[in-house]
Amino acid sequence: MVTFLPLVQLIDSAFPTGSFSHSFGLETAMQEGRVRNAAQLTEWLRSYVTGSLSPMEGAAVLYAYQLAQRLIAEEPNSELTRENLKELDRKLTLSKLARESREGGMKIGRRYLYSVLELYPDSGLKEYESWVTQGECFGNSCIVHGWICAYLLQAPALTVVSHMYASVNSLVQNALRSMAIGQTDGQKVLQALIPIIEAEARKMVLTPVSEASLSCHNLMQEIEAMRHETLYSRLFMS
Amino acid sequence: MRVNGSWSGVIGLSGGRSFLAHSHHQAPMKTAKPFVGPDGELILYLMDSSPGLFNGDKQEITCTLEAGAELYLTNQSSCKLHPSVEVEAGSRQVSTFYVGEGAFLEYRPEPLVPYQGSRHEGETVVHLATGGQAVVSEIITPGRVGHGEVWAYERMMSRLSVYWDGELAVWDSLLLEPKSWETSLGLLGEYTHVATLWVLSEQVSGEHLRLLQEFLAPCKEGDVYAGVSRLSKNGLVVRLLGRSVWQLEKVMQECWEMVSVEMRGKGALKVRK
Repeated sequence: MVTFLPLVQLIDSAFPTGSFSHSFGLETAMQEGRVRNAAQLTEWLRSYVTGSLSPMEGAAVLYAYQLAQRLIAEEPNSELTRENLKELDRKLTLSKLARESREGGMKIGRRYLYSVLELYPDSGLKEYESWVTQGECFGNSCIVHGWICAYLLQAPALTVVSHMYASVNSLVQNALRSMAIGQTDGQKVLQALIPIIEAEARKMVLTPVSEASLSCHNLMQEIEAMRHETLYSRLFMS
Repeated sequence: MRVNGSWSGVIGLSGGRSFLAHSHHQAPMKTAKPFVGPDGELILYLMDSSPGLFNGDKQEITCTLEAGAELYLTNQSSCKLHPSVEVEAGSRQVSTFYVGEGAFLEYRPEPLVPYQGSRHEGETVVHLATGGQAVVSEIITPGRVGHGEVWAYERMMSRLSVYWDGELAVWDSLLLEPKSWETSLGLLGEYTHVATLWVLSEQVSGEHLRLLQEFLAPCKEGDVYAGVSRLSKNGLVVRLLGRSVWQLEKVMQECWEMVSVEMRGKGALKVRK
C-alpha cells in the first residue's frame, strides 16, 4: 500500500535540513518595518509563494520528479535526462541572485540530500550525490524532493504541494521565533496560505513543465535577501 | 507582416584604439557612425528606423569584442513594445555578446516600454573569456506612464545568462505578468519600474561590495529600493525598484562609477544623450 506517510516524515519541520536558520529576506522585511503582524506576514508569504516559490522551486520540483521517473523506469536517452537534471540544478542555484539565499539553498539542499540518502540508500540519489561531490552540481532540495517522491511513487500534485508547504511552514516557524505573534496566529497564517499553494500547484500540473518555464518575479523579496547581508542584528543566516 | 531586424559586429583593437572591424545589419536595424571616446574606446549607437517592436517581430544583436577591445553600446531611445491582434505571438529580442581577454563591454540600452496588450521576451547572453569584463544594465518600465498606462501589458520576460569560459555562472529569469497579480505590493512594493545592473569582472572585490552596500543602505524607502550582492563568480549585481527611469539611471550610474576605476583603470564613461 502506497500512502503519503513517507512524505509526511520528509516535510516535518523537525526533519534535519537546516532550514530553521534561513529567512530568505523575511528578516529584512521585519526589520525594515514591512512585516510587523500576522496579516503582513501572510501577505509577504503570499508573494513568496506566487512570485518565487511556485514559479521557480515548485516548477523545478515537478520537472525533477518527471526526470527522476524516467531514470527510475530506465527509459532510453538516460544521458539526456541526466544532463537535464544537472542543468536544472545549476540554474536553480544560480537564479538566486542574493548570495546568502544562494548559499543557504545549497546548504539546505545538501543536508536534505544526505538525510534522505540515509533513509533511502536505494533511491538512486547516490548518483546525484556523486554529481555534487564532483562539482557538477550545487545540490538543491527541489531536485532531492522531486527525485525521492518519484521513487516513493507519490502523485505529482502531492509532490509539489508538499515541497511548497514545507518551505512556507519553515518560514512561519522562523517568524514565530522573531516577531510578536503567537502559536495559534502562526497556524492561522499557515492555513491562509494552503489554498494559495493548492491553486499554484493546480495551475502547474496542467501545463507542461521544462527548464524553460522556470521564472521568478518576487523582486521585493530578492532585494530584501540582498540587504540582509548588512542588517545590524541578525537571527538568521539569510 | 513580421520584421526581423538584426545587427552583428566585431570590435577590434589597433594601436590602442578600438574600431569596428566588421558590421552587418538588416533593416530596420542599423548603426550610427561609430566614434572613439576619450580613452580609445568605441562608442556605438544602435538605431531602429521602425516605430518599435510589434508582436511577432524579432530583433537580434550579436557582438564580438576581440582581445583588448573596448565598446560602449547603446541605442537612441527607449524600445517601444506594441500590442498585436495575434494574441499568442510576442516580440523577441536576442542579444549575444562574446567578450575576449582584456576586452571591456558596456551595454547600456534605453528602457523597455511595454504598451498595453504587448508580449515580449528578451534574452541576453554574455560569454566572457578570463580577463574579459562587462557592464550590462536594463530598465523595464510599466508602460507609457504619461498616458496613465501602468502594467497594461500581458507578458514581459527578461532572461540573462553569463558564461565564463563556457561555464554558466549567472542565470536570471524574470517574468512579469501583471494581470495575474492580485496585488503588486508584496512583489514590487510601492514601485513600478524594475532595473538591474550587472558588473561582470574578476576585478570586483569585497571592498566594492562594501562601498555599494553603504551607498545603497538608505535606499530602503522613498524613491528607490535597491540591493547588491556578489555573483557566484566574478562580479556583482544591483537590483533596483523605482518609480521613474531617471531616478533608477542616477542610482545605477553612481553605483557603476564607484567600481569603474578599478575595472577600467579609469572612471566611468559619461555619454550625453
